Amino acid sequence: MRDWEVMRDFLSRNYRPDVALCCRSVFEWQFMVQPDTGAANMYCAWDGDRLIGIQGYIPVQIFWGATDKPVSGAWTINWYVEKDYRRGVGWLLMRKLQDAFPVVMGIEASPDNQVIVNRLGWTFYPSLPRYLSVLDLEQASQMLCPEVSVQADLRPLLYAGETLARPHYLNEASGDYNPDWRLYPPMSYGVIRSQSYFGWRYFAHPVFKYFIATTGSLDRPAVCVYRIEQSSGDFRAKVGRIVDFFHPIDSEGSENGKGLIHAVLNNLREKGCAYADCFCSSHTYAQTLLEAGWRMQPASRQLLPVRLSPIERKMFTYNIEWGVAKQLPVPILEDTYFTKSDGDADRAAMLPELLEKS
Amino acid sequence: MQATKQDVEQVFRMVFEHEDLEIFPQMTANDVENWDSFHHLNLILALEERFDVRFSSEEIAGMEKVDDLFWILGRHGVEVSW
Repeated sequence: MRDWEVMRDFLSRNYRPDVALCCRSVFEWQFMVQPDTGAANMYCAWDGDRLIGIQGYIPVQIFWGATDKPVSGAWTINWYVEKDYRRGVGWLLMRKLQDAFPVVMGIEASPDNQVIVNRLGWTFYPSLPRYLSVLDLEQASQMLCPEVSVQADLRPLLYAGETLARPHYLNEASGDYNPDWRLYPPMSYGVIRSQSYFGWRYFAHPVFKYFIATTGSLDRPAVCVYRIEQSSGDFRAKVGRIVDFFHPIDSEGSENGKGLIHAVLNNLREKGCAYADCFCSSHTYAQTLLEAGWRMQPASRQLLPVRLSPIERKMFTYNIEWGVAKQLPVPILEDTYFTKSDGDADRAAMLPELLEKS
Repeated sequence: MQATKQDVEQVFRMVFEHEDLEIFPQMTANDVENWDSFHHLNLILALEERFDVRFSSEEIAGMEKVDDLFWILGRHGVEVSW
């Protein structure tokens, strides 16, 4: 990228010097930089030679209303304008993005950005639902957020399940993964979890190692994607981060889904994880989690930390929002499929070399 | 569609909550005290709604003074007379 030094300086100045995007390989992956042209998925605003604003985005194929007709969409990420230039540049960058994509989605919008998207008439939800399963009560007890009781709050989340299910794990060469999306109506609003999407999102990730577990045949699998994160700060522990979970909704699919989530939790427990969490907007897939013993975290209380590098024992939620072209439907959150995999919600907290290794 | 300076001025007065605000061709954001990014956003959206147009990002970026706005409205079929 021709202006890499300028970009890195902008990111370092306006985010943090150790923000993960200051690592070139992370930046190039995140914004899909083309190796031959250096072009990135980002609109930039300049004042002469000075970079003063950016609007990054992730172009994605989505379903928006039906699982038989893909639509072009984009996640807005790293939408930032320097303070001295905030006279409309920010939303101008957003307008440019909306001109290019009929559906633009965001996750974890800053308060300043929320003001703009609200004014633009976007749909906004303050909190993506979070589901928890405690795997090691002793470890999890060391990671409590304030005013959380081990007995009253954590013990009911303790996972005690067993399973005989043995998932099949996908890898880059798993060419048979090709779900018939008509069997997955709960995914009618959200990014299509295709082989190519997995290829970029998970297999090519420059920092994290993701596991893509499946049960059932690969034309109609139950799928669970997770990684194991090592906490840092005042307590070291492993935490299972489920970033994708979906299955066909017929009885066979639901059984495969339940068996799969049991298998994944058993695996995480064997690997010594303190707890596992899963952010998911879908009401349907939430039910599968609940039937497998997960519990939904109360909207107003943080039981166990979300941010782990380092541990932050305080409330943290992912807001989620979308703006759509006039002719397209506007769903409610429960009918969508959005998870922590989406946008840049599941991003490295800092430069890769500074992260704790599990 | 025909419009007058007063039609556009009404939108400015509503957005900036300034009953006596008078627009002129060379007027810029620097000429109005509370013309910040939020008001700028509101102004563009209000103009789009009032005249049933949608400005592209390039057109919005090109609006440095009110005269530019009139010219761009003209490109959208809204002829504004001073």
